[in-house]
Amino acid sequence: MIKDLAKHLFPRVVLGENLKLRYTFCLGGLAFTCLLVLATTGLLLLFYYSPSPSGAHGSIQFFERAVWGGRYLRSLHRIASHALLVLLALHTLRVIQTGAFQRPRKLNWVVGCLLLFLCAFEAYTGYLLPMDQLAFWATETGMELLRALPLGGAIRAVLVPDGVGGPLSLLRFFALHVAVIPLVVFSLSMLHFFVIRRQKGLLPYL
Amino acid sequence: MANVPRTRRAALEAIGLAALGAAGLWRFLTPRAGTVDATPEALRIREEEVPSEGALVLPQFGLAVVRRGTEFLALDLACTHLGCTVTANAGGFACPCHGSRFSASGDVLNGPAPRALHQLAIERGGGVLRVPRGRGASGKVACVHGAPEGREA
Repeated sequence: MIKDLAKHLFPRVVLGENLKLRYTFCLGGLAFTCLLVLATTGLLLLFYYSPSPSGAHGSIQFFERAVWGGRYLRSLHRIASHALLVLLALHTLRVIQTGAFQRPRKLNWVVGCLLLFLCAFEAYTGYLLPMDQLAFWATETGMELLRALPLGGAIRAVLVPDGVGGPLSLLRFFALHVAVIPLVVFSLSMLHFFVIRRQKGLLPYL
Repeated sequence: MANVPRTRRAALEAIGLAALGAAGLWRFLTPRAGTVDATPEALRIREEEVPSEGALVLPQFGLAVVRRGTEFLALDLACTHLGCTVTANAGGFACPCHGSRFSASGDVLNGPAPRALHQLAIERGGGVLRVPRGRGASGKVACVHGAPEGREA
């Protein structure tokens, strides 16, 4: 089973009829491809990014100006992040439209929802990192909105202990963005795919 | 893995691709050395660095150097409205914050900016321009990257 999953997400023998694109439009697969692109470009961005309020913006300007492929890689990271959220939203819609959230696939629906929220949060934490005016004020707005929620003040105190743009806050957003959330997202994605594979026989294309 | 062709050609292609990847990674990891000599107070820019059409824009130092015939003009990139760093475009400069537009010589074309872009004093000598750093680079959020001297482009 594990070996099967490692080698083929789908069984070795599938009817041609059942490989039709319209079953899923491959939206989940495309979203995961975006995630891989984000991981790769993000890893390269890590070589030059400096997570301090005084150094962050300059390090990104330096990356775009002096590093070969810097502007391209940063744009790719940004565009892939937009594409990921769009594809995840469409994937969720497809699941709702086809009723794929019903029993016995409830577990995967819950895991998928968690992934959707985590990816949105991942995008939000990445938004602050360039430390330009847009990043600063967008994050400030988000953190002010949080006050309206129950326990919002406590979450805010954990996320931005010294206010948006403070050294500790930037470092926390950075840690969440490059380590904590990606780790959880990739683990949950593996669970997501494992459950699809385990439920073979349930669907025409598995 | 049974279907992977184990031919000499495939091996050579794989080695070629790996070499290309390694070369790209090497180039990525060795950033271009800068041509602007920067000290904390001023920049030294060689005159031939300034293009005859357009301007040498140095957002990391908050200034742009414009050639006007045989004369040079150094403009502070801090918008005279609320201090955002303006960006260079084909016709001059534009402020991303509130839409002010400036001509290539820094005069206000439209928008909320009340005055032309601040001009910085240039000292010329021996084909080298000595320009003080602009205010645009010392704002609260946009800061100068602490790269080693001479690494800035």
